Amino acid sequence: MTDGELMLKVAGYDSNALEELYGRYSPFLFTLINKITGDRESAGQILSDVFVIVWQKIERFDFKSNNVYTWLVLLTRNKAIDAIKRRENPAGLPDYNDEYENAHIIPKLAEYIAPLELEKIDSKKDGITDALNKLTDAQKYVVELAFYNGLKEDEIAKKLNIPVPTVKSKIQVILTNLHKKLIPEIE
Amino acid sequence: MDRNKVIDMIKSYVLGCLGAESEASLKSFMEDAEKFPWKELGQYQNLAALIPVNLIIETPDSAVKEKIIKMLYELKEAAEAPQKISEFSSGETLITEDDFQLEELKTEENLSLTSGLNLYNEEPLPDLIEDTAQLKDVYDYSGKTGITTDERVPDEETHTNRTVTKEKPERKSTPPAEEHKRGSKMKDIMDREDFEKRTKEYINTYYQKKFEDLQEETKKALYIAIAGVALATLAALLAIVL
Repeated sequence: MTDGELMLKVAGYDSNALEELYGRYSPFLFTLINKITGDRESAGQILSDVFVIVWQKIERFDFKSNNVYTWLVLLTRNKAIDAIKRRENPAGLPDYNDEYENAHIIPKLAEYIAPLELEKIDSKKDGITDALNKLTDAQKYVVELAFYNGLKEDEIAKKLNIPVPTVKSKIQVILTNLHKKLIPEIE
Repeated sequence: MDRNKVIDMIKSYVLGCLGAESEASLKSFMEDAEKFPWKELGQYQNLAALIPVNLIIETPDSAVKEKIIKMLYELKEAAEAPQKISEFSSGETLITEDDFQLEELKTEENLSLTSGLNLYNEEPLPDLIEDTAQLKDVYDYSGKTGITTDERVPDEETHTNRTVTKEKPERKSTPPAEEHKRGSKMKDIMDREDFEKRTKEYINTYYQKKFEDLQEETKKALYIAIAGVALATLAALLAIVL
C-alpha cells in the first residue's frame, strides 16, 4: 500500500493505517526531531504530537498532490522548531492554538508538486546523501542553522557575523546546486 | 514582483529562514495564484524535505507509540466530554453524558489497546443490534438529531466496537477521481462526519447498555421461572409420594 493510500485510510479514521504510517515514518521523523531538539525524550514527545496532528488534521493534507513524504517531513520540522523556540523563549511566540497550528506548523505544499514517498526516497538515498555531503562546510553550516536550528536570515547573518545579503546569496547557491543535482533524481 | 525575486524568496522560505516581512509578502503573492511559480515552490519544498536524508536513523522508544495512543484517547475523551452531546438545530437536548456509562467502556477499550495503535476495534458485535426493529428504533431515535437516516447510516465507519457495523462500506472503495476531489472539501465533510460518528457512537453505546440491561432482566426472569417450575414439580412429586 502506498503512503497516499494510507493517508486516505487515516482520513477514514482507520487507526490501523495510522499505525502503519507510524511504522514507516517514525524512525525517520524521530531522527529529524532528535537532530533538532538534541534530546530523545523531547523528540519522543514531539513525534507523538506530530502523529496526533496527522490524525486530527488529516483534512489539511492535499490528497490531490498526494505528497506524503514532504508534508510529513515539513510538518515535523516545523513542529520541532516551534517546540525548541517555545522551550528557549516561551513568551517569544504567540499562543499555540488551532489557528496557529494551521498557519505555522502544518505545511502548505505547492499546488503543483511531484509526489514523494519514503520508499522512493530510500531507493535514492545514496545519490541524495552524496549530493548533500558535497556541500561545503560553510554551506552545511548555513543549512544547519536555517533548517535544523530555525534561525531566520538576519539571525544567521548575526551568528556568522556576515551581512544578510551574503546569507541570502549562500542560500541561493545551496538550493540551486541541490536543485540541479536532486530534482532530476527524484522527479 | 519579479519572478526571479520570488524564486529567491522561495528558496529561503522552504528552508524556514525567510524573515517575517518577506514571508508575508511571499504569501500575499501566492494569492495571485496564476503568476505564482508553484512548480518551483513544489520542487524546493521537495528539496528541503530531502535535507534530513543523510542523518543516521535512530528508532524511537516503544513508549512513544503508547504515548500516541494515550494522547489520542485523551482527545477522544475530550471530544466526548461535553455535558450534553449537543443541542441540535431544534434546540431540543436529546442525549446527555449521564445517559452513558462511558468510563467503563473506555477502560475496556484501553485494555485492548496496549499492544498497538488499534484505537478503535472495529470488530462487529453481531448480537448488538441485529433486529431490524431495533435498528429502526435507533435511527428513529437518532432522527431527532436532525440528521436523516439516509444521510447517516450507510456511509459511516465508526470509532468504537459498539456500533452498528452492517452496511459499512470502506472509504478505500472510493474511486480515485473522487478521492482526489476530497482534499479541498475534506474539512467540511469530516466536520459533519465526525459529528455524525460521535452521535452514532453515543446512540449505539446507549442501546448496547439497554440491550445488556434487557439481557440481565431476561436472565433473571428465566431463572425465576425455572425455579418456579422446579418447585412446582417438586411439590407435585411430593404430593404424589405422600
